[in-house]
Amino acid sequence: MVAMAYAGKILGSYALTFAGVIAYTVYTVRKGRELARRVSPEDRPWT
Amino acid sequence: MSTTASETSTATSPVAASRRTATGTPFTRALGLATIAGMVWLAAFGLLFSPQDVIQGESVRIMYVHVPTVYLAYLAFTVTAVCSAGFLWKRTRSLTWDRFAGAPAEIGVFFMAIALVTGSLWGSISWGTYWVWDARLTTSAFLFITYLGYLAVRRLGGSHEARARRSGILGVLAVLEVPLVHFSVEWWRPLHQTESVKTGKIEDLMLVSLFVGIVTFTLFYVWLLLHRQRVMHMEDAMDDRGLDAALAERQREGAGA
Repeated sequence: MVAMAYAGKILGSYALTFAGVIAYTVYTVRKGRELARRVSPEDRPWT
Repeated sequence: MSTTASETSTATSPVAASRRTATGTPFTRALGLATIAGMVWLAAFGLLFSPQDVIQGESVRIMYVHVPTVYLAYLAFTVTAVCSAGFLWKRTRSLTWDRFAGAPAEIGVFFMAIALVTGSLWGSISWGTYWVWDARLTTSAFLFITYLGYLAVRRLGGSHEARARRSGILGVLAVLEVPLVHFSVEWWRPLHQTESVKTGKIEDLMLVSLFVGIVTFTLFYVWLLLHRQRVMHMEDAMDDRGLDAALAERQREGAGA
């Protein structure tokens, strides 16, 4: 368990990492959805 | 055969349809769920189960997010180089190679940014300072800036082939910095510690926690790679469509004059 010493920096490093992961994921999914509405199904060969 | 109201609304809603078929597939959805599970495991192992280090104390917990992100950045930049070579080699020339070169470069920059920030926080505990211009940190910063430049070069404009050619050359050359960063701790013996896994300094639960981190971020990397590549594919398709429309308009103007 994380002790009080340096807890802010240790927890902060995890928080920053997970926040970055979530932000990048949301950005990627949103961008994909936005573009999917504008291109034809032929331009989405993976579907 | 009768159809329920909810089935009809789902089948006809363009928003729902685009959500289902945007960049996701059953495989990427499974990958995403595995990544979420891995992140929970990582937080549990890194913050709760793993013991503190004899020398570094509690700060060693930062290693479980710092080291995997560095490893994934190396992997991403290497994939960029391989796929760039795939485009530059005439026999395999295809824009798919270029998109599979561009997507990991972006992901690598993201992971490198996290590695620099978490490393800086770790350094502030271990060394008493957020940053020193030692060999490992300096080469890492240089690597990060180089790939930011690579991403800027990809956005310079021109045809997709021109973009692929110029960024392909840069992608093949820039990867030479990766061994420079990795071996900097052995060649120049800076303040940054040397590799701990190969030398057996990490074992038991600490090694398991690090392994969980590497597996989790690798899953996330593959998920991102597939999605980003598909986003780039659609962006290119949109560009082509815009170009086709502009050419058609010119032809109509020419015919009318």
